[in-house]
Amino acid sequence: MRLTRKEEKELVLRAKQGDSEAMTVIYKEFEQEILRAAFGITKNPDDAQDIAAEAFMTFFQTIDRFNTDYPIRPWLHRIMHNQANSMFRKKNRMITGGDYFDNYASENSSQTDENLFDEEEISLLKKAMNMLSEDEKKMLSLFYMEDFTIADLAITFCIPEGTVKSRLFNSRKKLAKKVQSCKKGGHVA
Amino acid sequence: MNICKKVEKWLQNHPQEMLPEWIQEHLETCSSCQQIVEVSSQLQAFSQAPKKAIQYTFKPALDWRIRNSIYTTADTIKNSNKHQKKATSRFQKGFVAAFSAVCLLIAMFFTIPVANQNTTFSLLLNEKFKEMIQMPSSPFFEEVDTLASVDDHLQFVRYYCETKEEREFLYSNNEDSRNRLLFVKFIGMQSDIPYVQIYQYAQKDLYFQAIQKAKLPLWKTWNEFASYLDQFTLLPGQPFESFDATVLSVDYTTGAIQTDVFPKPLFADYIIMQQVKPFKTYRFTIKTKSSKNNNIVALDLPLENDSSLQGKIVSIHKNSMYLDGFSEELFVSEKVLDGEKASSRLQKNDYVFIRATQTTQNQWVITSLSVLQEPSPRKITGTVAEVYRNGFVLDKLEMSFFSFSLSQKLSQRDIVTLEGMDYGTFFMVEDVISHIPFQEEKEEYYLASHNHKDDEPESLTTTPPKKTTSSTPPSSPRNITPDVPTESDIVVGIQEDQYYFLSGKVVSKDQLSQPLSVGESIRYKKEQNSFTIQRHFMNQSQVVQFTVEYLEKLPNGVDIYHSPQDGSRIYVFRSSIEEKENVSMFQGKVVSYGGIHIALQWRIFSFSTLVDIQAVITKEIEHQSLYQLDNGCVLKIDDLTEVQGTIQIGKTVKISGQYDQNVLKGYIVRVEKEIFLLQGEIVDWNEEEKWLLLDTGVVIQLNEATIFHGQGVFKEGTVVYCKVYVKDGQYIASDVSWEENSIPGTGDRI
Repeated sequence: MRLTRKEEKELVLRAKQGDSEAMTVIYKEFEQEILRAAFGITKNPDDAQDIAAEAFMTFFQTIDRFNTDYPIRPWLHRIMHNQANSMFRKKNRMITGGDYFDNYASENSSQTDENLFDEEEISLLKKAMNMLSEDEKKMLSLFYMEDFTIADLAITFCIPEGTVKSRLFNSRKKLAKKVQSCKKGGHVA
Repeated sequence: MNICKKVEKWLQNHPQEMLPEWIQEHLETCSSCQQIVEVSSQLQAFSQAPKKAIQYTFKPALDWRIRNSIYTTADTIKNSNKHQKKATSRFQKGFVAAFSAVCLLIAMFFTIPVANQNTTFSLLLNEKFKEMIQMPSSPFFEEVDTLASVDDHLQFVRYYCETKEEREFLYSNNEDSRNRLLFVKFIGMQSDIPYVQIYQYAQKDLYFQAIQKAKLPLWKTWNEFASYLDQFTLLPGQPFESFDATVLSVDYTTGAIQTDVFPKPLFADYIIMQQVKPFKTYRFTIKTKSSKNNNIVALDLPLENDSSLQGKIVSIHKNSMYLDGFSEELFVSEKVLDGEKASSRLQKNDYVFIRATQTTQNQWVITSLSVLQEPSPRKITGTVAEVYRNGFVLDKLEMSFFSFSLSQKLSQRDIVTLEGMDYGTFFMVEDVISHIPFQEEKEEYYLASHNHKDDEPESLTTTPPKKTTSSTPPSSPRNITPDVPTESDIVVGIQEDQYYFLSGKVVSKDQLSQPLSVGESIRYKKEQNSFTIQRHFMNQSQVVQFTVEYLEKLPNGVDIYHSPQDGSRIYVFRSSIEEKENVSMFQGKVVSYGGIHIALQWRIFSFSTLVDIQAVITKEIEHQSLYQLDNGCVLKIDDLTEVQGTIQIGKTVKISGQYDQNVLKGYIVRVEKEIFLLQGEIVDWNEEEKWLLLDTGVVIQLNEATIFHGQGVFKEGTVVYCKVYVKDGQYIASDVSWEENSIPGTGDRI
């Protein structure tokens, strides 16, 4: 069960007072999610561990300045993404080819309730997803797989909610085209 | 709006809701909408399916580090809280003592530094500033084609940060860097201190000190900056409007961006201004109802991807037109032309920029149209005053220059020759020749920060790109590729087998791929021990005369003089003057590139070494070069002599020059005006047009002084004596009197 907004706010208030227990709860709550997202970006478990750890440490070191009106998740994701950028710059390469959806692959897709998917459809969707830009992939995966709200995405990407909606829609539109193209065996540039 | 658009709008605003009936009905007939809905449902279902049980946990060592960080942070916060409580308790106990210390505290508040050169007052103020800077600002938007949001700052940052550490600080802290950078830019624009200095203060949150250093009024600057931030920040609940528009021009000096949607310009802050390019379409978000200007608070990808075209109208009909070089008929509705017909609003040969979309019937329909000034090819040389991400501004020239790739290599004070298309309000640069060699470090940052697409080498073309059929602007042709280090230089001198360059280099003729002349500006690629000339050209030479001061000698022996009048520099190869006086006169034939003059032929002298004589020309010995004077001397005029007036036989000349045996070499020759004395009775005169007609039929032009002195006295029938000279075939009065002997100097003047 995820923390409710109220619980989260209480934890942050306690953490701001120096309550290490509250900080630990926050850490454990988001550990998996941030690590998973970091792995999606880096595709390297060691790098993912490093940037996620740096993100957590940065977050806690500045917790006294954190505004309790904001949710924790998008901020943690932003910090983690900045850490990734910073690391890539040092290594003189860029964030490319994040395979976000692989991290969320169904355990056994044919057993889903409505039987909407078969293996072929999943692989088609993944293939099409990989043809999207990095930001488009990231936005779709956070929205659909990590249950980010529009407001969360607005904070994560630092854009207004209206723009989040339009970007989400454009990404889906593009994904639909790519899926069609993949079905025909062609390729959309 | 057709039904598909409505569906799109609904899907956009309700990404996760059940589809209403009207959409479901539409989906039965529309495959494209169906595809979008289908993929959305797939994603939705996929997200709800059971996930792989992949467990992500930290390694024990990292887990320990994070927990350790938690405990350390917790301890720090607790200690700080305890300290505050203790202080409060002590204050209560020692109330009397504290009261007596109040006066002392007040004095300390303003004057005594308590920490890091801060007084309590400045600490408080800096804290307030920090709050303002760290305020969750309205989102700033990455430019659509950059790879990572943090790189957006890179081009902006590098102009302000000298050290790597400073840059790294900004890269890793881009959470609040927008407002901080705006502070740096805001203060920098209002003062003479370099951006890097302001940045250093801002980096340490010493905003108060930065304002003090810039010698700006504190409260006024505070208020102005707060208002500046407010103008470009969208706070929760504030109304805004978003729309797609194509940029028609950007004015870097005012921040005004002209688009094809609004007749009035939009205004951008320093960061957004960095990102926009002419002829590119963006989705703008502006603040509404909160400001008289349309201030941009966000920049994003356009929702619609129309094609854009520009060119001359070759034929025009009631509701359609053809453009030069585009064979399809372009339909234009009256709505686009504010209710007017195309044939009445537009004319053949108008140069237009349009956005158009292709309908399902393959018709091209114009969605927006703007009439532009037809661009013309032009070449300009000047000094770079301010550099932006996609362009720059030249000194003393109110025009913005756009060069989407090459401007990255420029810095303030670089002298450049630009070739490109002049659009009247702005200039699209196609080629930049920098007269200061590029630095290697700049190249490195350029590469590190730029989209690889921009870095693809392009070939040099001389044909200006006039039409594009995509939403991207015409790319700037260039002949520099970032992966090939090239340098620019100017040939200042040639001696024996060696070339002497402006950069101080000496290069053997054998090392160059082709022969060069003095004054040529070159761009070359150095490979091992040879120099491949990639481009060379020379501006036209001209004869100039400056007062100069000797500045210094380059390592290769080239002398540099400085003109105090306009700040330009004159490069002279071996001026061979042993004792260089502080102030001298330079007379020479030069090739100029902005404020740099390369001397081809010259003489440098001081007036104290010249002889001054006045004589009458009696004979022309050689056409326009040798003259016999009435004092027996011969006057020699050469290419560098400054001649004021037209030398003719019988004319009196004042000569400043030097004797060479019996020949006087004229450095400055002034032909004296020929003065006549004319007498006559005024027949007519006109005060407005300033002339006088005498009874002899002569018309004399008056100047302001003579008109002023003659007010109320000039009248028909008065006899006057006029001292006149001839200019452009007209008699010009320099003095007017009613008595002959009063000219010059004595008697009553009118």
